[in-house]
Amino acid sequence: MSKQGGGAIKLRVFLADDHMVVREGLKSLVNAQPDMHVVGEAAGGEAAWRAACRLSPDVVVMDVSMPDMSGAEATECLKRECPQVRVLALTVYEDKGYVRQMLDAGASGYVLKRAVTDELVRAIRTVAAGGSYVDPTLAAGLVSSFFNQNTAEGRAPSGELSERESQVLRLIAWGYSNKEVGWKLNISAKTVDTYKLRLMEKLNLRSRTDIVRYALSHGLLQEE
Amino acid sequence: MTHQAVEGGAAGGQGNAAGRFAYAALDALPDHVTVVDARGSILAVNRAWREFAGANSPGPAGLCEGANYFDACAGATGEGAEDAARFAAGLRAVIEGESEEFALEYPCHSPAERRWFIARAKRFDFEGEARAVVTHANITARRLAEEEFKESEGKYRMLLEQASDGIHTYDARGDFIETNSKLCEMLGYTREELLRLNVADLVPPEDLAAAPIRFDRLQAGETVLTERRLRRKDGTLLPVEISGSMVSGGVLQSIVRDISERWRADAALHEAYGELERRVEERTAELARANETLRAENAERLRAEEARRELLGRLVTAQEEERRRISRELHDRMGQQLAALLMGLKTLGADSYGRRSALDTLRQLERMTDELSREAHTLAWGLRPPALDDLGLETALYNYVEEWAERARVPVDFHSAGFGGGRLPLTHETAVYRIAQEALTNVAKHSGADRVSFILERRGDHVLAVVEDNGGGFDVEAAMSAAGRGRRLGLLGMRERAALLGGAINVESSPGAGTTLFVRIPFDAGGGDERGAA
Repeated sequence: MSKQGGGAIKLRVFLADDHMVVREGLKSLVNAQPDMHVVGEAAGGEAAWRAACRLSPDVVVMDVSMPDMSGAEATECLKRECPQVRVLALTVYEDKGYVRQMLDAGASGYVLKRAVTDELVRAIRTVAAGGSYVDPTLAAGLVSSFFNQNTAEGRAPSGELSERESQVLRLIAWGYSNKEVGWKLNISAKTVDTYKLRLMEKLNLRSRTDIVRYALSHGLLQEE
Repeated sequence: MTHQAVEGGAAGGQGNAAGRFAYAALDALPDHVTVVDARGSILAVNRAWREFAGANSPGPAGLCEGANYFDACAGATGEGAEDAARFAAGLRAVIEGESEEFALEYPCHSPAERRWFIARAKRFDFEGEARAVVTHANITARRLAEEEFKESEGKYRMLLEQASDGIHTYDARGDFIETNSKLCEMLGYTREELLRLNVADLVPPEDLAAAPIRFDRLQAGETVLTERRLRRKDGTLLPVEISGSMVSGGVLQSIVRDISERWRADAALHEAYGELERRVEERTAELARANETLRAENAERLRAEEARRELLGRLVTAQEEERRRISRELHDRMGQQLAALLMGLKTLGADSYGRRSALDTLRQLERMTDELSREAHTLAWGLRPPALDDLGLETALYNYVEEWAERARVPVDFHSAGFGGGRLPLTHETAVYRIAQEALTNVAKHSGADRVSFILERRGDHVLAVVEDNGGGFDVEAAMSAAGRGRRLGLLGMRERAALLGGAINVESSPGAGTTLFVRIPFDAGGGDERGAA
């Protein structure tokens, strides 16, 4: 933070974006705010993290995709060298994969460029204050995807599997079709289906995916 | 000879010791002996004569001293008359000195047995008088033996002559001894000609050199079976089978069978076999040619198929390339510029100092820009999500599945595993992504499912995706055979995509039982991170 002309302390913002027009827009947007100003900018990932390290701004607004080095890589370097600098990812990409990638690299927030209105300003403030900010349209999916894993583990099985049912379970979990399981066990595909339904009922599994998860969490896929 | 006989005999000297000795000796002889004078008067008989005469009154031996031998002969009747006359003539010739001696064999059968005798006459002079000694000896045993022999020889000869095989005998040197006429007939020689030959003369020299006549084995008592050619008198050759053996006393015998018929049959068979062989060869060659043609056609088809695949592969690559380019363009150029535009509008808004009409216009422009920005994103994402290139299959698919679930209002249970290591080849990631897209599109379009399972796993050497819905299902075979149906085309497209990379699509479904689609695409496990195009 720095003082400016006897006013309040302003947030020091660094801009990293390979699009000049975007950078210009961002700069005027940021500088239009009374509590922040742009202290530096870069058009590439490499230049961005090095300059940011030197300038030690409060927040680096980092584009996710830049030609020389991706935003995630630049963020990783920056956070390794200057951990105190906070990074706010800014992107046109809405895939949650990118969000996760940036957050994993050490970014504290993620804002979509098309939402770059009051949100960006709000995000800069939040991140600078030590919080994290993810675009609300992305946040919901992100959370659910984190919680979506391993749903099969918690449920208690309601019955012991027979030898055949176990075999069928393993082979299905290995990704074999009913017909292929039938070939391997010398039974008809229809019979395989019967075993499958029965074992699903016994183990309280709702889908093929559940079967795979169950087999995985019970170490049934280690052989072969 | 009895004393009476001696007393009654013309010979003197009965008191003579030498004479007695002579009579005793004569009596000891088994042959019937009598002595006659020149006129045929019987001067003396020995004991055997007398005894025999007693038993055979009708025969010439019924005579005793004092009787005339010639008279007796002349008086003979019946079967013996002729013999008697002949002997009488012989005896007379002997007595008259025309011949030294005379012998005649004659039958003299009694009712009980068959008998033969030999009558001999021999002249001698006694004190100036011509005398003859006549003996009759029983030769029945010999004659019977001879007869038997003749009979058996006759039989043998008959057999020999009637035999359908040539039969001949020869000595240890191979010189012919005997032959039957069959052999003569077979070889075109007369019997006389044959008997002058040696067996070796009948065998062509080259054959003889290759297979000599095994006299050694024949003489060792073996029966030797040989198949060879014999040369006829006219020079032609006759195939025969010869069974040689030793009969007795060093005499060898061969039975020669004409096997020209068999040879002809063999030759015919051989020829037929050769013909068959030739035809089989011909047919084989034909088949080989057909096979070759087929192989060539097949290779041609394979080449065409390969070319088609390659073309398709390039098409897919080019299409993906194009989509990627446009997607990037939309994101990186249009998206960024729209973002910049939006920011400009914001700034303008902040600078407008509350002029109402201007502010309204600005808000409207901002909304339009935002709308455009979203559309650009959706468009780009639909074409080819940058995540597929930037973040990999797992993330891109997860995003897609999530977006699909939201849009189709069908929850998807997504599970993925095995993607912690390097990336798959981009071709594989793209293929799986596109197939999964198609599969989910099908689910939304056709299944009516309310739950979907999505499994994505990277295994040692292949990537596996399983999409299962609990919808209506369908008859896979019927769907594949029905022409022009959307689902079929979709399936074909997926198959084609997978096949380009050596992978396979497997669909299990039946009406009312949901549908499960399996995608397996192998990759080179060693080069997991190689980045192909598309």
